[in-house]
Amino acid sequence: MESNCSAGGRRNAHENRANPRDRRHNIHRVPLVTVVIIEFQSRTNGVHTKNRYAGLEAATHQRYVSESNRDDGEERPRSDELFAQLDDEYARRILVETTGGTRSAKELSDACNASLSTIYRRAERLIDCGLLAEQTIVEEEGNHYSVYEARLDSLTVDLDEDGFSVTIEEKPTDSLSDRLTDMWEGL
Amino acid sequence: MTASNATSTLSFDYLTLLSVTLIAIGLSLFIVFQAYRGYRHHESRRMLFLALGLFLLTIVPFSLAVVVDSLAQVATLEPRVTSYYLPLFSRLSEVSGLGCLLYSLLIDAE
Repeated sequence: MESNCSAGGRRNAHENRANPRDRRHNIHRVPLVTVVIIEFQSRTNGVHTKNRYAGLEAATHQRYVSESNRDDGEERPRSDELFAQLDDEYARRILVETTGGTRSAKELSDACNASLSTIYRRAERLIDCGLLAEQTIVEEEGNHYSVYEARLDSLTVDLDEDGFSVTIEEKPTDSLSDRLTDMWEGL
Repeated sequence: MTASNATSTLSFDYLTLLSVTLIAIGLSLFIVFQAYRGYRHHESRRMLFLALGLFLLTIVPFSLAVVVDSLAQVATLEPRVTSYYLPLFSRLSEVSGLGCLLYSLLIDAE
């Protein structure tokens, strides 16, 4: 199928490129024993959306543990990628815009005052991180386009001796047919 | 006297059976519709065959039973219809439904 079926664990080649926005070293300057909670307000009802979740696992809580002070660069821990995403102004903006319901790339482009390609690039990375869900809308004439919706309700960063760990609390899947699909495809 | 009693019992039986079957059809339609929506939204072939399988497994036999029962109310049917043809076609539909479910499980999730 097409891009809306990206598996959660997919690691694209471009993910491994050197990311100029990676502020890993700044993160370690945060005062110790800090707990940062970023809450994205979510509407509990009326969100009539069909999420294509990046991963099939229906876990409500996912925990990504970063490896602290490791700089081998071989495999970037997912939490670092998450921090990099949250450092990005457009990525944050996309999440804010899509937390109340689905938005198309065009709408996001207008709302964020960014080019379409910027939106697509940010969206792709957010999807790979599991923060954003993509869904393909097929129109009558056979055209199709993607709409996006934020997957996370809240995101908690905890610090202990092992490093930072990020917990993503996902929105509950609201549609029965989505849950049925997830269940059946998970068999 | 006994004849009219028998008819009223018969039609009561028929109505009970009809309403229960209609409830079953309604519930099945709901579930099949959810599976079909899953197919439409996610373009998942597995969901399409799940929907088709559930449809053949539930709605088709139920509807056949209702139709045959209703026909039996207004016309006299050959006994062979209810004793042989109805079960045969119901079973055939269920077999194909199970085949669809199995196929849905075996194909790769896209």
